[in-house]
Amino acid sequence: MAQYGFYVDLNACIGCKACQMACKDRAGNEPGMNWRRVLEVGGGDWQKVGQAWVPDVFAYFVPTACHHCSNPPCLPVCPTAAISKDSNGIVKIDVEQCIGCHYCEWACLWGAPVFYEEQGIVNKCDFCKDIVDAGGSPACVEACPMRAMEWGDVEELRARHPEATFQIVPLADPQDFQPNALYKANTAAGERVGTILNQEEI
Amino acid sequence: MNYPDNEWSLIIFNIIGDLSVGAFIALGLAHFYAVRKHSTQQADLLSTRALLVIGPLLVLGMLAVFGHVGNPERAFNMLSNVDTSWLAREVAAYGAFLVIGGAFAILQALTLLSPERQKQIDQATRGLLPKVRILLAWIAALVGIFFVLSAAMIYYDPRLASRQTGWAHIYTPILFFVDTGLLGSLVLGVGFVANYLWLRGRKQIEPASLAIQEALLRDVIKGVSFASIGLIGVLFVAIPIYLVYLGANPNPLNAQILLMLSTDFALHWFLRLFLAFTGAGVLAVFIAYLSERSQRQRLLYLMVVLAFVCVLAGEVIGRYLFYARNATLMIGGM
Ligand code: SF4
Ligand code: SF4
Repeated sequence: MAQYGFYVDLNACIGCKACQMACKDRAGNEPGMNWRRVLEVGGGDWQKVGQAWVPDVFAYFVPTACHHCSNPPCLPVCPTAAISKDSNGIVKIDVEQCIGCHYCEWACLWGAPVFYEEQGIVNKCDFCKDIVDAGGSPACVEACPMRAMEWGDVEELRARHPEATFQIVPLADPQDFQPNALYKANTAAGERVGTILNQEEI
Repeated sequence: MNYPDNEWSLIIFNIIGDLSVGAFIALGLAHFYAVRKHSTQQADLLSTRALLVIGPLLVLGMLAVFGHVGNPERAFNMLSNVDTSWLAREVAAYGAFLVIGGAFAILQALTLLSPERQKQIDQATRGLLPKVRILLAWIAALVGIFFVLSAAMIYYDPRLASRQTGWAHIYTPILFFVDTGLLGSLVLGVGFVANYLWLRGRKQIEPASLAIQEALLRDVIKGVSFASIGLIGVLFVAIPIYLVYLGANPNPLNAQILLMLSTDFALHWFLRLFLAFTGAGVLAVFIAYLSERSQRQRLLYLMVVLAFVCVLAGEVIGRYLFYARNATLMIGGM
């Protein structure tokens, strides 16, 4: 069984959110409903060096969506068995089966499942399964003007980018869920730890 | 700070579910006691009407939970994944408790019929009915306990541990079971008082029988007060242990929960503890004392109702806080 995943170079990402828009467009989501979100992370300080104030701030962006975990906690807890994992490792919600109980939202560490008030269901990134199965690339990857994103079999991605990791501030510790997203860390922050600045937006 | 105001349906559902299971089991114990002490007839007189209140309550709880899910008309889908989902198990157990408990209640309600009718039914069923009834009661009680366990496991489930750190502690199941015991026994106290006052108001019942009922009522109320004191003791041991765990755990989410309880939700937290302690502690001691005497019965009955109201209010706030802990957590776990 293959396992698809995403790779994002956080040095290349400029936070334009084209991926977010392309995803929304393809999923037909209303404003405010995002399967892919771009976290804006920042920190740092202004320091007085002698008589001068020296800025020492940093910012970077973290595009994130469902990570199609190898051991997804959302799947076993779903009471309706609406969540499944296909032969490419894509974790998908069957919206005809979903009852909208929110439990997968609680289970997911990264806020990937989104509740649809009107239909009373939850849905999330399905890796553009229809496009990918037909030989194309996910909408987000296609849309990125900086070519910061890649997709494919996660082992191949890992081989291509050995330095890439999931342990990126501010993403929650993955424990044993094995999310299949790889990030090349942004170097601007150095050892410093930033916080999410666009909390309201996401 | 987020307030869990969209979780009221879950709060109501959980409280009703726990209360009903607790009341059912407490009722069984009281019934058993009354049979041993007097007779089956006296036990039926004591408990049957109180039992009949549980059914409508359970239906109300079911309606409440429909407010939480987005697509209630697909409710049966929720039984698809009992293999791995505690939520599916909880829903299945709730439904089974409703059906089996309901069947038991209907059979038990037959004891309210006239002795001649009962004899007819007995002959027609070849005396099997009491056995079936007891069997159903046992199954319903076990299913009820499984319901409370599944309800707690939904939150305690280690698969959610990282995000719901505040929930993944043994405190969660303790809380659920203590709630079940407290609410169930106290509501039953109220039910017994109401039943006795009703019996007393009716002229048909014999004075000797009424005197037995009065004595039984006092015994049962005493049992309820002892159970409350014991259970509140368990809760007040569990709470400090839980708070110490939150304080000592390196996960920043735990510090956030502690902060929440000492700032925005400090008043809620105080009220929750105060009401639980007053109802199940102070008033329960008073009730135990009064139940030893045959004077001041009106005061005793009033105290029983008051204790239940305090504990119920405390539980409502407690459950609200339970979800508030979740609502404060944010995406990304930071
Ligand atoms: S990222 Fe969240 S929604 Fe996606 S598979 Fe993992 S746990 Fe499930
Ligand atoms: S919201 Fe839908 S997909 Fe998510 S756990 Fe509930 S039934 Fe399953």
